[in-house]
Amino acid sequence: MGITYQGKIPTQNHNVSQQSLITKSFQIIFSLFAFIIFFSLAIYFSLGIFISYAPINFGRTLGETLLKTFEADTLKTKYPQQEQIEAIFNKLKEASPELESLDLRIINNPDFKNAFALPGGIIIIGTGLIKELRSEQEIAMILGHEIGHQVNRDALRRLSKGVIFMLFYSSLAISGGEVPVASSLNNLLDLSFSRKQELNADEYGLGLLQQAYKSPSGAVEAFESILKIEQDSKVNNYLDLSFLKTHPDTNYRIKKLKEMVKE
Amino acid sequence: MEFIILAVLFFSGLIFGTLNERKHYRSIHKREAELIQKPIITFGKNYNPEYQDYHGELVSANVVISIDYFKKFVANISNLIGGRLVSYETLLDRARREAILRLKESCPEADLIINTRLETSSITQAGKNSVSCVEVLAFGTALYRVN
Amino acid sequence: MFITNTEFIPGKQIVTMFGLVSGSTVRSKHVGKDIFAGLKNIVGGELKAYTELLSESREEATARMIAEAKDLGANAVVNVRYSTSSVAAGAAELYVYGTAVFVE
Repeated sequence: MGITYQGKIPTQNHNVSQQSLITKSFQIIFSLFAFIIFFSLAIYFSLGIFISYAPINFGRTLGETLLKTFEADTLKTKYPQQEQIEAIFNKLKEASPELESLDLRIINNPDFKNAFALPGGIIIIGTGLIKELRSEQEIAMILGHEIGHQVNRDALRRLSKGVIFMLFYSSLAISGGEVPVASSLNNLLDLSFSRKQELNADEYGLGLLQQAYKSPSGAVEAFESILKIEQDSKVNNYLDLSFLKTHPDTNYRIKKLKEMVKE
Repeated sequence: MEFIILAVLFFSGLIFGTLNERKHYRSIHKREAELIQKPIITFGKNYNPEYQDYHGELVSANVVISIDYFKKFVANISNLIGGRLVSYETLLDRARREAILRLKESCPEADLIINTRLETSSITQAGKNSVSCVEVLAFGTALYRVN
Repeated sequence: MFITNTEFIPGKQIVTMFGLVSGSTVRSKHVGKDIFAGLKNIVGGELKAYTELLSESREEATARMIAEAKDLGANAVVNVRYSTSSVAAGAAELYVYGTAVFVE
């Protein structure tokens, strides 16, 4: 029964893969990124197709929720010019039966020099902006522009873009543990409309204006007013963050509008 | 800001984790070479029939080792793709070898350790946000020559 | 290579022993199979992907242990024990260890 003992150390560590962890990790990270990007793009395009066929007030609840994040209190107070602006809005809405379900909300805040298109057919405009606009046609042009966004489902498209970004971030978070996920709502709102979307909305707004008032006057002037706001308040954060950054260069838009008006 | 914190965690995990692991492996290799003459086996009665010459005693040793942030990140990602989780391999390997070494060190006078068993457990629940660490317990019977 | 979970190998005589050898592995399946297994879990039954994963891992761990034993010059591993751990979420961690011996 003599068992001898022979102490030996293995020549290599068999329990650990020989591949370097760093090269392996780069390999993994790249392949995963490629997969996530592909997946996100696929969802984005299929959503885009779906959105083109969605009814105009699709996502109304979501729009209402987003609306609450804007100045919940100021919405309730009545603005003196409210009826006048609503009348303009209704006049524009007569152009097409599709626009019937659109909804206008006025935000009574002199600092809010902005107008938005929220998902589900909600348009908001700040009294700050209304004050800067000099005529009914100018207001109509701005509203028409936002209606154009609604008709093109730009808000939904922006939202779907935001959702894709969220998915992208959260899939990174699932995989990587603690990847920072920026606060969702702000992220959704900050994502801008593209230059093309803006110009399309401009074109649609101009069409509405012409239909309602039988003349394109006010279109170019509206954007000149906006240009003035831009120049006046370079320091105003409110404006810088939302309206100006998300819209293409106003000078360029005015130029384009002038061309459109000529036609 | 969050991204900076993440990057700091990531790179400190990468640098210090790698340094730490190298240092630990150096120490393991050195001690293994020193203790190689003390047999450690998983069976008992077959080894030596002259058990009356020996005095047996239960010995145990444990170690808890944690993974670094970088490796955990890589492991979480490779978990999605499947295949080997390389980052955990060195962790478990180090932990087990360290436990065996400590078992040997815990009984310097013993001739050999028989019927050795190794148990692995994790203190914290396996999850994304918890600390990933592994406990290895090694235990066996140390045989001391009496006469 | 003889692998047994007994202390001896029938008909053979242990001549030399080399001490403890071990093999370990941590493996996982890709996320698609995880999701599918999660769905299958609702109705119950065999989770083929995980059965496969565990047997694959066990084979790999055993292969690693054998490689280490061969490296030491052994031709058998006796008293083999399997154990598992759970450090990584959703991964199979297999550990197998035994005593490397030379038999005649």
